[in-house]
Amino acid sequence: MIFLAPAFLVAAGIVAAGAVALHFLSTREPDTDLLPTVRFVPRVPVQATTITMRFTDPWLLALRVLLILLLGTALARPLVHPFAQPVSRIVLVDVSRAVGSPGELADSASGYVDGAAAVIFFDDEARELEDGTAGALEGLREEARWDRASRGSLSTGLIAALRIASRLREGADSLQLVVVSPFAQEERDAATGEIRALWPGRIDAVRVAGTPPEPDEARTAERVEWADSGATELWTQRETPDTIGGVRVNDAVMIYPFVRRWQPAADALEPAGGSEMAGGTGPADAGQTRVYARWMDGEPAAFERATAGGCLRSVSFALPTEGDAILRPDFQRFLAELGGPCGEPRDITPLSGDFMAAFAGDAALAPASEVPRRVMRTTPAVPWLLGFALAVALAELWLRRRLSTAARMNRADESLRGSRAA
Amino acid sequence: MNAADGALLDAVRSLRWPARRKAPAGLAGDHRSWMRGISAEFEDYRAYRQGDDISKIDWKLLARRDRAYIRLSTEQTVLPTMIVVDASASMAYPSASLEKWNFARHIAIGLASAAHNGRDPVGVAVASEKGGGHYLPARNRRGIVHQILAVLEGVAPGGSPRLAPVLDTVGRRHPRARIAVVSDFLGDAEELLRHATERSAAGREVHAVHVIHTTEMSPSGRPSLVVDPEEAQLKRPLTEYSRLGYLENFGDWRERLARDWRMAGASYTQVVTDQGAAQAVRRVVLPPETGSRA
Repeated sequence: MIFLAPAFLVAAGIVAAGAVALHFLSTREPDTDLLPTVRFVPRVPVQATTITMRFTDPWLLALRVLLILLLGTALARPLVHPFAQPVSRIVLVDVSRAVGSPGELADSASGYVDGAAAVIFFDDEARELEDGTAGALEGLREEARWDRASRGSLSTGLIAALRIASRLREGADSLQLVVVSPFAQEERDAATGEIRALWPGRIDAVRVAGTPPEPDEARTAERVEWADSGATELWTQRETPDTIGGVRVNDAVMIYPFVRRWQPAADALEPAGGSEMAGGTGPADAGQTRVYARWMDGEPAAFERATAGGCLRSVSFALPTEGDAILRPDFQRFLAELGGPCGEPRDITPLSGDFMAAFAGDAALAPASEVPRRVMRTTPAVPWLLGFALAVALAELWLRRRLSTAARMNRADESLRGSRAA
Repeated sequence: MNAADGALLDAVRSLRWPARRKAPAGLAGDHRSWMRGISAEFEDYRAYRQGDDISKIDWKLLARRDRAYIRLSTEQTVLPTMIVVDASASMAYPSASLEKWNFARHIAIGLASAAHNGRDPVGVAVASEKGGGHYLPARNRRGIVHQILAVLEGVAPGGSPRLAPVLDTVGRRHPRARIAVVSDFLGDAEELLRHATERSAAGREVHAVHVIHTTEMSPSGRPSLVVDPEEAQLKRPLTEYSRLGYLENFGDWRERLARDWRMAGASYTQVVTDQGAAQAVRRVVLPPETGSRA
């Protein structure tokens, strides 16, 4: 038997020892003597606490210790018959927009998901498939159009794999990680390398075809609306115009005292009921509105709504037309981004061979023992709560004694009053 | 009569119990009476007033002073003595040796003997569960002390008998008598004090003999649960801490009891069992200026 969270077992043992110690503090009545002048003895509780080296209430103690140990054992997550197999496989399947052919993706993944301990679909978030893995793959294959809009993130997938590996480490000798992905450039970020280094073995990278490159003539904005002209429904006028000092479009930032007169309408991001959508020939996200530029405090400064032929843009600020600002290089970059192609920038070129070599590694499978254990996540409140629980236990003992003593005193007083009345 | 009783009677054989105040008129005895009569013991002169018996004129003094004086003399009388003994359960302490009861019994016998030595009639009344079964009226005949001793030997202390009714009965049956109450005053002390006050106000002698066991004066510091012999439900823990409170409370109560009885005009004597019974009897019968008081 093994315990996935043995700290609970240790804690239960400590608490049980405390319960045993508390049972040494027994209350008993001392020896009884006659004394005619007992009425002059101050009225105090008729019990005295003495520390004795014998257990009091042994059955009660046994029940309490058993209860505590059972609770601790349960929280320690025991595995009575730990399932041990030589290799447990974790399969990461990329379902982001970078995938060019879902059928190929399903074919490539299906060879690995059979017998896999965990299958994870990831794009910009990771989802472990609890069951129905084959069905999910078939679902991918049968999709008429691969209209996924979310960008993939290898870092997200690797973090999910590490988390699941911590769970599987007790049941396997080695862990195999298979990543089925087109490995596009946009799926890598600055943390990918460091997160990859956390996996203590090789990664089997299965590359599938990516999205075909964009046509040379990128779609540009069909029309640009300027909020100052009042010809858009995406903006409402601010009560008090201000300036936040800058606007960001993609990677270009323009520091300039743009006047902020407009704020986004409440339904600005809702899809437009578009006639362009009819026919289904346009892009999959036609009618979708996205934030295209933001003020430096994060508030949307420009929207872009996809259309069948490109996009429609709505800008809430006015560009400078004179002065030194229009001569600055950052203004030129800002202007270029502002008038750039529609949609989010995509970089679906495959990752380099060097990166892939480093990503796959040349070591053997990851030994399960080298996968980090699940960290017991405790908060600063936990020791206080445990201390409070101990105080409550002591208070329970004190209160039980007090109630018992009061009851005895009351009974004695009633008897005394009764006998005097008689 | 056991050896201790015999030793006690030997120790108090020469002891007398003089009256603290003038006794009511009665048969001739050793105590000064309220009445001024014809006895030979001179007390005082008083100027002759018209109507006085001329046979009382001191003629020799008339010859010397040329004025007529009447010769006054004191009547001597006996003083009946009744001893009221408390035989409640609190006196049966410790339960194994009955040391407190035996001490009270010895004091009663000693007082009876001291009274009888002065030719006073003496009797005993025991407040026990048996009620009026232990009563011996005041008599002057020979052997009365042994009768009292026999009565007390037949008493088994126990229960919670009231002492005040016994004192009231004795007072009504012996209106002239001197009464000594031998008790621990843990029962109906207030009612008892009220009866004693009434009797003392009537000019009769009342003696309170407060019997205390050594353990009651200074109980052991060993932690124990002490129980009242008369009220089994009344139990308190006696520890080092509560012992201090007990000593303070018990001391205050004894002081208050002595003050109340003395304020009532009675004699109050506190006797502890570690004293000799004969010494305790002397402390009761001797006047305050000659005997030490608690």
